[in-house]
Amino acid sequence: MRAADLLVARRSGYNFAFLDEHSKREVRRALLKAVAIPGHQVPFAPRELPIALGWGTGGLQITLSLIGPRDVLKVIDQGSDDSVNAVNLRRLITRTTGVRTTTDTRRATIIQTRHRVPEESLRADQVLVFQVPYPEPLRRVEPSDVQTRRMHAEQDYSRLWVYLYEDIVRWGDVTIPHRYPVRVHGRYVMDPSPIPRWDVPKLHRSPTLGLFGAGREKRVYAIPPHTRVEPLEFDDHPFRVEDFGGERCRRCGSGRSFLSAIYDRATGRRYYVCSDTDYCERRIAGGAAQRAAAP
Amino acid sequence: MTAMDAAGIDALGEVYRDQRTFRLLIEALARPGTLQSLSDPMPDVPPGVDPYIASVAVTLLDHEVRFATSGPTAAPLTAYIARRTGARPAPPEEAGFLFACGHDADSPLERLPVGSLEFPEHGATVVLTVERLFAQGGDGASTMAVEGPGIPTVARVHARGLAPAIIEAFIDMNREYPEGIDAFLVDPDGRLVGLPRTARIGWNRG
Repeated sequence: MRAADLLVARRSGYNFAFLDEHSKREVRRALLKAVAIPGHQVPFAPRELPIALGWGTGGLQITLSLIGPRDVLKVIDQGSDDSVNAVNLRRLITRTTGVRTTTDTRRATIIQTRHRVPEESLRADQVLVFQVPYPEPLRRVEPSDVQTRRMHAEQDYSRLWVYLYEDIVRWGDVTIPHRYPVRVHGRYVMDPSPIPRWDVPKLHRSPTLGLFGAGREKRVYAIPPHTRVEPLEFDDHPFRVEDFGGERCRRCGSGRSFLSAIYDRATGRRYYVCSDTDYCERRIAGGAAQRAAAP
Repeated sequence: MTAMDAAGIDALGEVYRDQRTFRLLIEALARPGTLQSLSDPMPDVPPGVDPYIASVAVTLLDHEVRFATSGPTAAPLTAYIARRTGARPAPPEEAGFLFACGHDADSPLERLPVGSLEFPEHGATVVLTVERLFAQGGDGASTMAVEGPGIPTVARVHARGLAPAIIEAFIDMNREYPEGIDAFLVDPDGRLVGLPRTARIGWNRG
C-alpha cells in the first residue's frame, strides 16, 4: 500500500471504505453475533449505497466494514472477475479505499463473491464474503417472516424435508440446482447463497471464515472456519453435485471444475468452459509454461 | 503531498485503528482459543482504565448500545466509555456489553441477557480483563480445553487471573444454545482470546 493510493481514496470525498464509522460499527456488531451463532440470520440496518439493492449491497457492506489498507481484494461474479457486477463493486471499493486488487485467488485476503466459491482451496488468512439475494432457506415453504423465525427457533424444519421428499417423489431426485439448503453446526438450516451444488462441499470444515450479507433482506450470517456444513439429504437419496457427463473445459481442458455451458451461435453446438476464470487462466498459463519447458 | 492531504491521512488514523481492532476481534471469535494481539491501545485513557479494553469499547460501542461494568475499575471505565462512545450505562440485565474483571468472582455474568430462541443475537458480550494469557501453560494459569466451531480439533486457553466461578458462570449461561453470551478475554499486554457461546469448555484449575 502506497500513501499515494490512500490519497486517491481520500480525495474521493468519502470516508475510507465509503460507509460512515457508525454504520460500520453496526455491521461489525452484527457480524460478531453471526460468527458466534453459526448459520443464524442476524438482522441489521443497511445503508444507502451508490449500488442498487439486489446488486450485492449486503456483501458490499460486509466488505466495507472489514477492509483495511493492507487488504488485497478480489471480487467475482459467477466465477468471473470481469463481469459487470464484479467490476462495479470493485471500482467502488478501490476508489474509496485505495486497496490493491487481484484476480489471483491465492493472493487475495478478502474475496467478495456472487454465486461461486473459487475452485482454488482457500486458506485461514482469507475471508470469503458472499452476496445473498434470499437469506431465508425456509422461504420455499413459508412466506411469513414471523413463522420462519419461529421455525428456526424450534428447529422445525419438517416442511423443508417434506418439500425435498415431494421433489424426489415427483422427479426422482432433488431438483434444487443452487441455494441448496445446508445445516450448519448441526443446528440452523441455512441458505448458502445461489452457489451451485458443486460448491456446497467446499463449505464443510473449510479453514476460511465465510460471511454472508443480504442487503435488501437486511440480514447477515456466517460460517466460522472448521464448522460442520451438511446438505440436507436422505439416506437413500444422498446429496450429489452436478455431473457434467465427462465434459471438459474447452479452454483449459479441466474435468474437475464447475463448467458453464456456452452455445456456439454459428453451429448451434453446446460446449463448456470453466466458470472460475482465474482457475482457468492459470491452468492455461501453466500448460503453456510446461510446453515451453519441454525439450 | 499537500498539508491538507497529510491532515486527511491523519484523521483517518482512528478509522484504521478501529478497522484493525475489529479484524482481530472477529478473528478471535471465529477461531476460539487462538491468541491474538491487539495492536492499538487507546492513548488518552484516564488512570484505572486499561488502554486495550478501551480500544475494544471504542471499536464496538456507540449510542445504540447499553453497557455495564463491574470490578475495581468500574467507575472510571464507565465514565470513560460513556464519554468516549456515547453508549449508555445500564444494569447488567439490560446491557449488550459487560466489562468485567476475570479474577472478580462476583462479576455479574449470570445477570446478563442471553437473548431468546427467536433472537439469540440479543445475548450479551462480556469483555473480561485477565492477568495474563499464555500461548502455552503458564505460571498459575487455568487451562481450558475448548471444542466447537472455529476449532479444527481442540484448542487450549491458558489464562491467569480468571476465577473458576467466572468460567463456571460462562459455561452455565451457555447451556441452552443458541441462547447465550459471548466472551473476549484481554490481558494488560493486549493479548486477546475469543470464546463464543458455541465453545464447549472443559477445564481444570491452575
